[in-house]
Amino acid sequence: MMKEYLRLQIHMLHRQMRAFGLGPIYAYPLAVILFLVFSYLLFAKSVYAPYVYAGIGLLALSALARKERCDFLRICFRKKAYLRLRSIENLLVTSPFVIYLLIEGAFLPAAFLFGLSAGFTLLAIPVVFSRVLPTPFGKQPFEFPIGFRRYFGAFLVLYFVSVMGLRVDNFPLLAFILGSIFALCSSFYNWVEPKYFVWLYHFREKDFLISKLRTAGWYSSLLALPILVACLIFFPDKWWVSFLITLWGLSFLSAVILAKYSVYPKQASLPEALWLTAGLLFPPILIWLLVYFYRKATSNLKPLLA
Amino acid sequence: MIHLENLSKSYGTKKVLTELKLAFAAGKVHGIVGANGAGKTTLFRCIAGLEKHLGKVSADREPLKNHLGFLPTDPYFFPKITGREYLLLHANARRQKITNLDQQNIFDLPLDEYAKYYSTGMQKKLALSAILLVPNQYYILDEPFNGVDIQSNLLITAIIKQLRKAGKTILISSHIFATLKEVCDTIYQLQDGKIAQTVDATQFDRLESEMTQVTIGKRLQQLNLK
Repeated sequence: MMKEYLRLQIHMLHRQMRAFGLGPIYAYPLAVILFLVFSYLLFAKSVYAPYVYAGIGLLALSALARKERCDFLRICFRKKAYLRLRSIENLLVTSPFVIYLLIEGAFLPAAFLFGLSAGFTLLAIPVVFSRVLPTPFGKQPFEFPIGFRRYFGAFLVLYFVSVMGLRVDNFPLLAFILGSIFALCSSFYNWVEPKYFVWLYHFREKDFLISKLRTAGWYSSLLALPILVACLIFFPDKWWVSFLITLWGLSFLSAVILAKYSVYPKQASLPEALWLTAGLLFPPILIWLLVYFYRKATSNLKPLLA
Repeated sequence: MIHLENLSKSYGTKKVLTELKLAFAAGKVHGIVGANGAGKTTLFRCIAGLEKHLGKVSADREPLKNHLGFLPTDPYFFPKITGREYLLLHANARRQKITNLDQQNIFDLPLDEYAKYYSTGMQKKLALSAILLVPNQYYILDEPFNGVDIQSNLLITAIIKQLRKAGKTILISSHIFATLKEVCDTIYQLQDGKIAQTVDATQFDRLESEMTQVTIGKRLQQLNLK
């Protein structure tokens, strides 16, 4: 039965790869190459890479240890099989990280991560019914209230690092954080809502898209404002760089939203991802992308909103 | 009034609805009954415009979707969205300004808690509240009584009657026949994608006993319960 379960997971993974527009035959080598490139760059650029790496591994382990998921597995399997399955899963997820850490000679983080993967076998992390986190975005649900609550910790870290950047007069760091705020806000739009939540709107497709773009523009600017103001006050001679990054951030965020609705209700897949990456690396492309995705999105949404 | 003309829907080669011709009059409650998989939810989604279909759906107020309050069978709730934000989302989508949500919270829901963690009944009530916040001419209520407590059941029944009195067109499905008998003017039995029969209030008891007989039949004996 455990073999069946693992086989099913592989089937599901392959299905997701195909839905993304990549057959497993291409997806596996690509994933390995991306992993190696990412790892190489991370270790080449930062002395904190082993800790970042261990942190990523920890996040992956936490995702597998969700209580709801573990409870389901406990119902399906006897205790011994359940523990075996959980340890196999944890090892599979952490082994690339552990191996790379060993290659880089980071033995302590590697041992730490390996120990965690064993320890997490016994854990089931419950959903925290924490108090509702107040947000200034409650008037225009849903992307920003959800995204802000989900990534609240990440925003805190970004603001904290920007304060550190200010203390050491590091403008590039602040500029990077300014861009990261918009990139984080773009991730709020990765998820595809059920059709009902688009159908619901009494808007024409053009008005619908404009209302989405306006909300995203205002709210992301609000989140980026403290960093932008800090850049302008402490590095006034670089004001144009700060404004260019803000403009890039807003354009990229808009392109992500339009790309999402250009293929809605499907999930944006490889072609959209490639175009957006091109826009990320060569910002002038964003102007063309905005027009292209806007046209596609309006014609795509017409049947649902008309 | 909602008209269906030769409404058909297939998923691949599987026919779910076959050339339905129906007229749902205003100021009436129209019940749809049928076994699981009979096509009730698909029918509702086609009328709402959430599914592509063959044939025509028309109404005296067009576009129909802009005058329709649709309560899905299993309303979806976003994670980390409060009940209040869920209601605001609906109001904003319909360009409706809501001034006092608490006053309109007739089911006494904890609006400032995450809706995802509400019980099934509370979620249903929140979704119903959302469509009642905005004035509509047509209502589709797919299983409105699912999981709700007895007090709310009574309240929902009263709301449906009030909507009928206000001249609205209401389509409702439920697996609780007693409730349908209480609120409906007409019941349509959907079977294998077709309307097997249409009955008015005088024949509800006959339909119920027929359905009971067909559904239960000799199945209990098959179970060999002791």
